[in-house]
Amino acid sequence: MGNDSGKQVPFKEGMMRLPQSPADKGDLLGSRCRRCGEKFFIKREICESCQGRDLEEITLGSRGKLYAFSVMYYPAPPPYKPPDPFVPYGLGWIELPGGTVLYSLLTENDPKKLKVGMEMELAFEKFGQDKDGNDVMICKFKPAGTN
Amino acid sequence: MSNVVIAGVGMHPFGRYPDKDPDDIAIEAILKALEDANMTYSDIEFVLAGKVAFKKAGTGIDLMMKVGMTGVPIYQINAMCATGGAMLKLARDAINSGSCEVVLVYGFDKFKGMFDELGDPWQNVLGMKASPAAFATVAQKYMNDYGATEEDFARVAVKAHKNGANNPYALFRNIITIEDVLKSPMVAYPLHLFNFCTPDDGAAAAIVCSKKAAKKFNIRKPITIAATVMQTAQYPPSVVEPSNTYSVNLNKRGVSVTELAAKKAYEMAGLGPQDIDVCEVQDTESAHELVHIEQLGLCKQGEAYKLLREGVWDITGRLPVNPSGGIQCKGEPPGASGLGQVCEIVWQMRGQAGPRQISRDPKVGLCQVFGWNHVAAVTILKK
Repeated sequence: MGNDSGKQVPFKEGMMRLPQSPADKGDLLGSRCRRCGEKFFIKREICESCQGRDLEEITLGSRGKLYAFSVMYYPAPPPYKPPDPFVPYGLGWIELPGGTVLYSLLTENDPKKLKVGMEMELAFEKFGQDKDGNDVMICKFKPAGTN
Repeated sequence: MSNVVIAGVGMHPFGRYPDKDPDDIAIEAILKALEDANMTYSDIEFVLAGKVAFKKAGTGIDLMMKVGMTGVPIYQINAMCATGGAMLKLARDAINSGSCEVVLVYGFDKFKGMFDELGDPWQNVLGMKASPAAFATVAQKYMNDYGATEEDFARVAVKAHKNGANNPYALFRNIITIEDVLKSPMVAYPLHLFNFCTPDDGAAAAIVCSKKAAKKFNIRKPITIAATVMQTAQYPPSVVEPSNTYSVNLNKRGVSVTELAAKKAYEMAGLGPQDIDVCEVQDTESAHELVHIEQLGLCKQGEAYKLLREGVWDITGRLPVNPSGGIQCKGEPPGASGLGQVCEIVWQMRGQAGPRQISRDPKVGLCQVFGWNHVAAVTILKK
């Protein structure tokens, strides 16, 4: 989980709570509309369901089930910077307990090892460093129990 | 009863024209449509110009200056891959409002590669908005839910090429086999290169006018626009529908924009899916041809691939789908593709489609386009 040159910071505010200890799995963050109760992944200012403006931050846990997926065999266009050499990467929808389903990067890129309905858990990866030397962390989902 | 008709259509073949002035591609389609409608540009009161990917600024107006300086209002429209259908709705509304009688609608594009910066900046940086994967995820879900296979998706591409081979407006005019598709490189699981449309160059145009104007100009075979609907997401959106949506609530049934648009279009036309004789649907890749057939209510959910195996969607079948070869064969200049469908359906309804003319005599045709971020348009045309 990154090196020790600086502290870890999330890639995007309101998207994830990074683990604070080895036992801590971290959390996805989201918003709940105080007017209609609808829940969303990632902090929102406007409720997509009722257009309400009063939303509270919630945690969405770190586990879910694979709902649908794909694997990209070619890099996405810029500003994405593919690794050299390029490695195919997985993308999919993850269904959280409670019914919120979100689009996420996957750690697994072999379609044979991915199956709709399988248990998935949150994984954090170092994406790069910011100008202060902190490790910028992104989150992906991995098949539960794998490294 | 609709008061608005298509008086003429024209198309510049879709393909790759690196040495051609892009404006000339659009102008060719426009002049052909005017000629087809027996009109001149002076007869046009309002212009809608579709463009999505091509980067030159102001194309909608500047190229029209080369066609004529008549002072009419010209608006450029971008509704992603649904642009053609979205413009037809505006044209019909403008005529129905009484503000004009004759509208030129054209779509043009020059496009290569994938859309960059399709998503929000953070999604783009992470490579999350690779459009092939977003569409392929729907294909994967379709396989999982209904038992379709990669061979079924290959069969869609094979059918497309059988039709496209007879279309002089298509980029790809070769016959392919299921094996060819499955052997082509995997782009985004479970879809191969030959399953996907290819972005390319092209233009299509239509002259839309009131019935009164059609009489005045002696239009011999006017095609009535019985309905035209442009639809965006209605919360909750359909879950895997290609978009930038971060998350969806699965406890509520999200309805696809195509299904929403189709319902409104059938109601507007006073027709139902059983009345459709021929259609052109958005086939960004093979799987979405099947998905869209089902979303339009042309068969039950999960059955389009079975009916494909039986030949129902062939040009000799009960309900020919994409007799043009679709954008799997024509390629997709996104600003032009929707009107490209309209050209094909008009030609089919007039009996002018040559070797790819469908077996039955179509009375009612349907065009459906779908674009990134939950946008669709459905147009129903009637003889």
